[in-house]
Parts: sequence; structure tokens; C-alpha cells
Amino acid sequence: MTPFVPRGRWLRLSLAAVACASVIVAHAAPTISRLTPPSELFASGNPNPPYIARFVTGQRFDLQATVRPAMGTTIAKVEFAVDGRFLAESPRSVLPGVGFLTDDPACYSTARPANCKLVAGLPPGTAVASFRAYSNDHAGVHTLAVTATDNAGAATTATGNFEIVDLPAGGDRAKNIIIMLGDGMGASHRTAARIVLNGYAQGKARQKLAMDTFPHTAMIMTASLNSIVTDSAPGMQNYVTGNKSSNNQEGVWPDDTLNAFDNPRVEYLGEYLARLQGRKLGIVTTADVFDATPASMAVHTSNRGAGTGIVDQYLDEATHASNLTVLLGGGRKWFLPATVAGSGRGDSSDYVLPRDVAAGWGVPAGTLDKSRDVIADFKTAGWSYASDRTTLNAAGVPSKLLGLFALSNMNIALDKIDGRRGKTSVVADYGFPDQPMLDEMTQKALEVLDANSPHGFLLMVEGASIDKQSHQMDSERWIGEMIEFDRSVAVAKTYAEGHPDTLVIVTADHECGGAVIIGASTVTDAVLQATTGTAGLQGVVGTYDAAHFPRYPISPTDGYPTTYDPDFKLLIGYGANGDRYEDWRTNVRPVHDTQQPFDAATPLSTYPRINASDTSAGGKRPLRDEASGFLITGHVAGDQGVHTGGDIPLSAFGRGAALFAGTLDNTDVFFRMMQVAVGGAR
Amino acid sequence: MVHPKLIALLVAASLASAALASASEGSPASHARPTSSSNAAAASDASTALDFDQFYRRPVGPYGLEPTETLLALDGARVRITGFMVDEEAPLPGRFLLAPLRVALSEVEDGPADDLPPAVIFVHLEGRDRQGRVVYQKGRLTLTGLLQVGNRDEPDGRVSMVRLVPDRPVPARARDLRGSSTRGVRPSAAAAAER
Repeated sequence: MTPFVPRGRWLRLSLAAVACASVIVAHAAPTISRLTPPSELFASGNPNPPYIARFVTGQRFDLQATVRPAMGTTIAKVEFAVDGRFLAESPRSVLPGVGFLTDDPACYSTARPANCKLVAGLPPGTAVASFRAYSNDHAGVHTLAVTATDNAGAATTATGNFEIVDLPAGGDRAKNIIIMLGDGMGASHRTAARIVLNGYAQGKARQKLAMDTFPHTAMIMTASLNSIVTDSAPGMQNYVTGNKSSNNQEGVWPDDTLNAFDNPRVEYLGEYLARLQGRKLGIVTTADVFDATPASMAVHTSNRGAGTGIVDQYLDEATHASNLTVLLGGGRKWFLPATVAGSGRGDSSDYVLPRDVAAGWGVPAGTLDKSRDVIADFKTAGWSYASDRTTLNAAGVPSKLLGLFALSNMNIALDKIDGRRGKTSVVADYGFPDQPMLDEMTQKALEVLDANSPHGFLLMVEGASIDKQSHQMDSERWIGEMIEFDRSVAVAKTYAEGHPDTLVIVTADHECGGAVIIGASTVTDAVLQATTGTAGLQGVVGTYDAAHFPRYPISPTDGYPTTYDPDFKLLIGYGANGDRYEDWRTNVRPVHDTQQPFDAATPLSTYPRINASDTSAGGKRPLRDEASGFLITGHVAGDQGVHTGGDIPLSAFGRGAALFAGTLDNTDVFFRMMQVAVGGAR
Repeated sequence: MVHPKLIALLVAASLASAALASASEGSPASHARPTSSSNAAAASDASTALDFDQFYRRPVGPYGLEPTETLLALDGARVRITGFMVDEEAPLPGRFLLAPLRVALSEVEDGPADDLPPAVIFVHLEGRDRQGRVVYQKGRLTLTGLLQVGNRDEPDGRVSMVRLVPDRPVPARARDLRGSSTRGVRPSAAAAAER
């Protein structure tokens, strides 16, 4: 609960007047240009739903205002009040979580010095005032008022609102929550995996995917705070904060400062459950663990690319604030000191929190330490470390487990399975021939969490390269990734069947690529290999009746297709595509990955690019399928397909699964999970 | 309006061309001892060919990248290596980077958190050229010089693992693009540019 500072006075605000005009401006008074948390009351004057900012009782979040002074004045004080009740005054408050940030006068000249703290374009004397880690225990809609007073005594008040959502008690609570996050996974991604893995007979799927067997389904609206098309940071964090963030931002709202780690924060689901109930957190991904989806479970930053600071915050903060207990994925480069070859650490991507953030939230401030050995520090903190599948298997069931299986993103399921079948070229080229599959990582994560979570856990498992390979418009690789992800879903479902106090949801952060099932090849693979040119390759696309039902041979040993190029194969199109050449056949090599440390060295330097707009490596890479395929002109510039804004399906299984139905905003999912975890469900 | 950086690059390209021309003509304006092509050929005969692929072991072990025995054995040796000069937004005097493929860095905008591959050579010029601004050159470069292996802090905050002190470079008549009095220099006398 927020500490109350008795001031002996109440702000006398007329709510009726506020409803009519959310900003009351006196002559030559300061202007409040941003009020956080965001609200339509502040933005447009509308006091009615939708309430942009919603929280559960006791969930912590920051209050912040950007105040611009009238010409020739300075900001003397900024006061925060909720429902007319005074909270704090900045900058004179002695409360540790109150901040007041202004810039040097030189920062308003055209030659901004390097030490400027605020974004360019603000008038001289602009102040960003903060009240950190506020919370409210009373359900309902509340009014946030900020009053700014300048040195001439002129004052301005701006108001916004937020809602505290009640979680009625009753029914059974879920001790454990597992979020299976197929990054970029739209409805067609699911369908394609089902067709390839199980096949259809006279219009009926021979067998469902594991995720298809979940009894409850919802459609999810995926927009972020600033766009109908989200990226993976809001796509994930909206689920686990209950609030909208802007693209590229994780666990924070936008602000007017340059520091990527000082943005106004909102408490994560994992932090809330750890703080109030002692639950543990696990994060599993096939991406680099600094990537947007995993980081959006526990890290607070407005820059999803700040890898050094993000992994430091896992250790500095999340191990305590979220009870982070399992962290598995790629991304070792951020954990290696800058003195070790392959390190990606650097001061420019590191973090230091301002005093009010660290004090208000009770977290370490961080430091610029590119030479930090984060793996060693995790070990010192009692974590076991696994570097490949062999050491993961040998790790047993430790109390805490860190697994970093690649320097950057892990390899794609198709290539990992090829490696296990003795076709090791791609994983060997990447330098990591012994990477675990996602279902193996999921199994290990569940074993560790189950053994160490007397009060329950929250686990997020990400199939990351469903998205990454949809960006590359590499159909066979994201289908293989979907199969790997569904096998992981089966692992989670099996756990929930044995632990009925567990909720499992399968969902996506957004769709990627506009991937669609356009039909199937009308020819054998031998004929397809001999087919070239636009007319020929368009001519083999069987639509409607001509598509029939493709059949893929599945290995009884590993459960993956023995080939992704059977006769009469499934054909995929893209509605949000960049220019690409297409020959409909499996690409021997994946498109190169600029985040890989060996991307510029042989043989990865010879891995293909998609189109000419990829000029990395001097534009010398071969264009994928240029010789064998036909050019499909894309809708978007650049060398990749892009995320799309359509709704995506969510499936739920286990305790409280029935709450996940209808068409929901992605932030609604947070309150459903909270209801099951805290209030209970019948 | 043409972006100032573009102008700089255009000037750089023309200066690089001028530098090549002046070197081939044995410019009388050269202040340092020019290295003749025959000397360069003789020098390369006494060097060991090194490739970027030989820097680090694969598969990668449980921690970071580990240098190969080949690389370690060449510490202090005279080597010959072919790569691409990294296009740095904020290059340091007397130093440039050689990478296996063309790379452009935006240190000013993005800081040193970039896509610089781990297999990269920090090329340090010596003598009077230590203060010279190295003119960016496109195309493949073959450098010959003394190899140093081991961590060292660089003035820009990076840590170099592998460095090369090239054979005496030939100064060009190019001026520093930043307008200071320091000279522009070509990367190396033994450099063979491929465009």
C-alpha cells in the first residue's frame, strides 16, 4: 500500500469540472504534456471506458507527469493526488520514491551536450516528476490529479483516471500458471502444423494438435499502446501487466527522458505473485533470453535491444522481485564479460536506475559493468548452469537453473532435428551442435519449478522462431518450429493433468507474416524441382479442390517430418511480405541471422538473404531461391515479412480455463489469470 | 540537401582514390619511407596467411569463444590476412578495424553495442601515423604485419582480442576529414584494394 503523507489539506477538485475539461490552464501557467498512467480522460477528456490503465488491488505502478513551464518561469513543485487525496509533492518530498528530473540549460541549445536527460524539443525548464511504486487497494475508477506550480505562483492541474479491478474470492485457485507463447502464431500457423503433422482424411483432421485439445478458446486483440500492430514487447508484457505498453517497451510506459531504464513502471504478474504469494518464475525460450518476449516477463525497459542491462536485471532484480528460478534459452553473449570473445556486453546497452526508481521499488540501481561475468554471478547466487543438451540432462533437479545454449538465438527446430539425424551442417556452422529441443527445456523447467515452488509458479515457454521464420517467410522452418512448440504444449498439458491446480494457456503475442494456407502443390517433388519461372511455379499451386489433402511422412523416432518436400506438398502464402523469390521447396539453409556472432564468418557469411534490401555483409550474400524461384513482390519495404494486426486464438486448459472465452483484449488475459491465481474460479 | 555524412563519405571515397593514385606514383609529398611494390611482395613472402575462420574454435564450448591453437601460435608473428575495412562513424586516429565482411558501425547513434563480429582485427598504425585519420576504403584489403593476440582495452571502450601492426603505411596527401591538422593515411603499403 502506498505510504500516506499527512499534509493537512486536500485538493479541492471538482470532478464535474474535471469531466468537462481534463486540463485546467491558468494564464501563462505551466503545461502538463504527459500524464502517466495513460488515460483517455487526460488524452481526450473522455472519463468513460475504455479505461486504458487497469490494475488489480495492490499492484504497483508509477505515476509521472511531464510539465512544461511558461516562458521565463521554472517549475517549483508538482503535486500528485488520487481521488483528491494528496500523495506527494515533487521535488521537495522526502519520500525516496519521488523523482524530479530537469535538464541543464545547455540542453535546450541546438548543440545538446552528451549529458542531457530529457528528449529534445521540450521547452527550457521542462520537468518530469514521478511518484514511484504507487498502489491502491480500492476497487473502482480513480482520478489521478497532478498540479504543477511555477515560481510565479501560476498553477495547472491535469487529471487522468485508472481502474482498480476487483478479484472476487471464490472457487479454487490455480497454484501454477503456464503460458505457452507461440511468437507470431496465428490461426493459419496452427492449421499448417496440424496438416503437416497429422494430415486430414475427407476433410477431418486425423488427429488434433495438443493445443487443439484445450477445451476453451478466446480470440485476442493484440494492439499495443501506440499501434494496431504490436511488436513482441507489448505483445507479451500486455498479458502480464494488464496494461498497454508502446512498441519496443517492456514493463513500462513511455516517458520524455532518454534513459531507457527509468520509464514509469508497472508491476508484472510474476512480481506480484512473488511478492504477495512467494511464487516462483520460470522463463524458457528458443530465442536469445534478452529478446522481447522473455524480457517482457520480468524486465523494465523502454529499449528491448538493451541486452546488457536486460540480462543484468534478470539477476539483479528478477531473481528477487520475481523469484526467477529457471532461465533457459540462447543469448550467452550478454552474459560473457567484454574481455571474452563472443561477448556482446557494452556500456551503451547497460543500465543504471535513477535513485527514485531504485528506492521506490526497492531494487538495485545497477551499474555500467561490461566486464561483468554474469554466468559466474548466477553461479555465485546458487544457480546451476547448463550450456548444452548434455549438461541440461545432467543437471538433475537443482534449486535454480540457468541454461544458455547458444551465443544468440538458438537454431531452428528443423535444423536441430537435422543435426540429430546426422545432418549436422547448419547447427555445426552455428557452432552449437548439441542444443536441446523446446519440449526438453520445458520438461526440465517444470521439474525444477515443481520441486522448488511450494507456493506455486508462473512459467512462460516461448516458441520464438515461429515468428522469426515467419519474418523470413521460410514456411518449412516455422512449421517445424510449430511442431516443436506443440510438443512443448503437450508437456505442459501432461503436467497440468497430473497437477489439476494448474492453468495452461496457449497463445501468441501477434501474428507474423500474414501467413496463410493457399493450397497445395499439384505435382510431385521431382516435377517441382524441375519447374522454374513464374508461370511454371504459379501453375503448380493447387487451389480449392486441386489442393486435396497433403500427406507428410513423420518419423516414428523423433516425431518430425522425414521430409518437408513430399509430393503434392502444402503451400503457404504471405499477406504481409517483403519481396522474395519462391520455389516452394525447403531451403537447405536458413536465412542468415545478423545477431549470430559468426554471421560474418565462413560459412555463415554464405548463408542467404531474402532480397536486395538486406545489405549486410556488403550485399554479397546469395539471394535465397533466386536461381530456382520466381519473384513475389512484397507489400512492405525491407527484407522481411512483418507482424500483422489481426486477432489471434488463445486456448486454455486446466484450473479456471473457462474464464478464457469470447473476444478479449490482451490485457484482459492478465485479469483472467489474476482471477484464477488470486481470487479463484469455479 | 545532401546529408553532411554523405559528403564526408564521398570525400572519403575520392580521397581514397587519390591515396591509391599517389601511392602508385610514388608521390614526392610522402613523408614516410615509401615501400616499393617489390619490397611488399618480398615482405608478404615472409608472412603466414591467416583467415578469420581460423580465429575461434567450433563447436563453441560451455562459455565464450576460445581462440584456436593456430591463432595463439601466431601471436607475435608476421601474418597476411584479407578482409574489409569497417566503416566507422567515429573512427579513432591511427586505428581501424578489419572484418571478414563489410560492416558499418554507428557508434555515435547506437554506441558500441553493434554487430561487429567477434572475429575482427584491430589494426594499429605506428610511428607518425598513429595520429593519422585513416581514410575509409571500400573493397577487400590484404594487410601484412605483426599479429598480437590477447585482451587489450581500446581507447573507445572496446576490448580487442586480436590486433595487427601493419607494415609501414604510405601517407597520402589526403587531409583529415574532420578538418584537423592530422594527416589522412592509407591503411597499409601492402594493401591491395579490390573494388
